[in-house]
Amino acid sequence: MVSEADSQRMRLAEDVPIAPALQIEGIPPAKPRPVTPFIYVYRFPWWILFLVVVGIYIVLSIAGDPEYSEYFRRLSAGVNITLQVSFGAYAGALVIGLFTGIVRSYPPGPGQGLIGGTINFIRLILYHIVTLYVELLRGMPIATLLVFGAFAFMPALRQAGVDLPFRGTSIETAIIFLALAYGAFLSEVFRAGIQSIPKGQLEAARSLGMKGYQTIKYIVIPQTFKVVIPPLGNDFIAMIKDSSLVMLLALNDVSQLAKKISGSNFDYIDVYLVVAFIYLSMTLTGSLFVKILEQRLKTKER
Amino acid sequence: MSGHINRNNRIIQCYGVNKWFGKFWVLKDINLEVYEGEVVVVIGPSGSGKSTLIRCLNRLEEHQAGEIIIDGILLDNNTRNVSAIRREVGMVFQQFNLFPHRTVLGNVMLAQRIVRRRSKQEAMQTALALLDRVGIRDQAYKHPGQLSGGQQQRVAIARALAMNPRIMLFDEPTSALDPEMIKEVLDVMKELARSGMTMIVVTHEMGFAKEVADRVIFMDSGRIVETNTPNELFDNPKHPRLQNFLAQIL
Ligand SMILES: Nc1ncnc2c1ncn2[C@@H]1O[C@H](COP(=O)(O)OP(=O)(O)OP(=O)(O)O)[C@@H](O)[C@H]1O
Ligand SMILES: [Mg+2]
Repeated sequence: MVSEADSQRMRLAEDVPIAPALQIEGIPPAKPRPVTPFIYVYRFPWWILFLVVVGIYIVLSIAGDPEYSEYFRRLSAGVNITLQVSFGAYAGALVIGLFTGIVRSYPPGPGQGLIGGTINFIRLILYHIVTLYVELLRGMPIATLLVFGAFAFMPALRQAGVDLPFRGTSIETAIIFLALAYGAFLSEVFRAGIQSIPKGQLEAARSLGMKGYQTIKYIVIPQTFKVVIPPLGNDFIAMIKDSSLVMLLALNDVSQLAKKISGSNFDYIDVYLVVAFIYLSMTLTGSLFVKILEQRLKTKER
Repeated sequence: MSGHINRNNRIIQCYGVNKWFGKFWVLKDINLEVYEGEVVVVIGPSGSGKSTLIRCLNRLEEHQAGEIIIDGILLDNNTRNVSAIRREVGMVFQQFNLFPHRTVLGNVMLAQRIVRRRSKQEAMQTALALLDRVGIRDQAYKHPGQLSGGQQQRVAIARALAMNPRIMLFDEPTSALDPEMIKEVLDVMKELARSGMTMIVVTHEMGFAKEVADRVIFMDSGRIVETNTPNELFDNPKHPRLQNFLAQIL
């Protein structure tokens, strides 16, 4: 998929003539470093090859061994929950983190006039609520938060007369509280990204007449995402692993099923080998995807 | 000399303008009137307040006392007035400040689309015409990082012009450039001056001042110390601090 702008750029790049080598008498012309095939030994992503080979070996041995196949079949039933929780909570955390990160990046000053003054006062309150949220949730163990949410907060809501469409120990509760926990982390990631944007960018936008929200939407957010993709990817992988905490709510994700199966037959080694294989398949796919995204963003700009 | 001066319209008026950064008094009783079509060059030693002065004219900095009136609009805390003035006033920075995540064309189109609310087609036509005018239409689909400094600064000029400003402010537009690129930017600015644009230019390029300016202002420690036509100011400086400054740079 090559856009028109891309193909145009490629054409421009190809048009650039290569300067002939300068030759001064008496001095032999500099020879270009010979390109040996050896260079590919250094460029090749050996670790991926290693993983693929080992992965194929494991897949074959799982398929060939009735015991492994059985474990794999039963554990795979939990992959669905693991992925739902991970993606759901991470999407929520991205939204929360981006919003709170922006709020925290621009502490308001006193506004001008009645309307400006009111708006900035509301912003001030919001700023402090958001700061409180980040500081509190960042310092809380996620397990504590999940258990509190499922067994204290949601039941209390229900008792207060709120008509919840799901139970306390449900995938919805898990997603909400994981999103809140990760949102606090991502908030700081986004704030760091926003602060890395040079002040001149904002001044240029203001001098062109852009309003505050337009500057954030068209100038700040696109540049922030480019900076924060690596740490965001990091946290996405951490989220896949932390989704295993939903076993505390007795949800049948991969980890909970592993606990049940190994608890009944005491074959911990084989069950947890398959568990490790399943988690690594998900996290490595995730990190590969992040790498590709990073590479694409890099080549798009320079 | 731009030669298009309309002496009936004082498009920029500053009366008794003062500004402090904390306790530091940066601008002291600035009085300045600029006619429509006039080209004013501001010179002065580092830290004398040149940048601060022109940044006050489009509210990148806020003055604390005195009046600034741009094209008949009083520059105060009223955000509507500030927006109206920013639409009239374009600015070019020393560090270009192009948007690195957008192409050259995207840089020139963005504010047209979201501030002037022009259609995509209209914005594109305006952008390409302006890129042609500054001589880099063939770079339209590159990103700023792929261009030389001189090319980037010309994009920045096109980007500001795309808003159809009536006034252009330049803050040392050639100071970050390699010597061989200074001329291409100055040439664009000369052409702009000839077209009748009102311009205030902070620069150390005395050749440009002599050739293009209608008036030169010398600032020192926050004050406008002397103002005159370029010939008079350079050949016959009156204030000892200006004499001293010129002796150092010439
Ligand atoms: N945001 C700020 N906060 C505090 N002091 C500032 C700020 N901006 C500028 N100053 C100070 O105000 C003075 C005037 O700065 P200004 O940038 O206007 O000078 P200038 O004449 O443009 O100098 P230069 O030729 O170095 O660009 C300087 O002493 C500077 O240190
Ligand atoms: Mg300056």
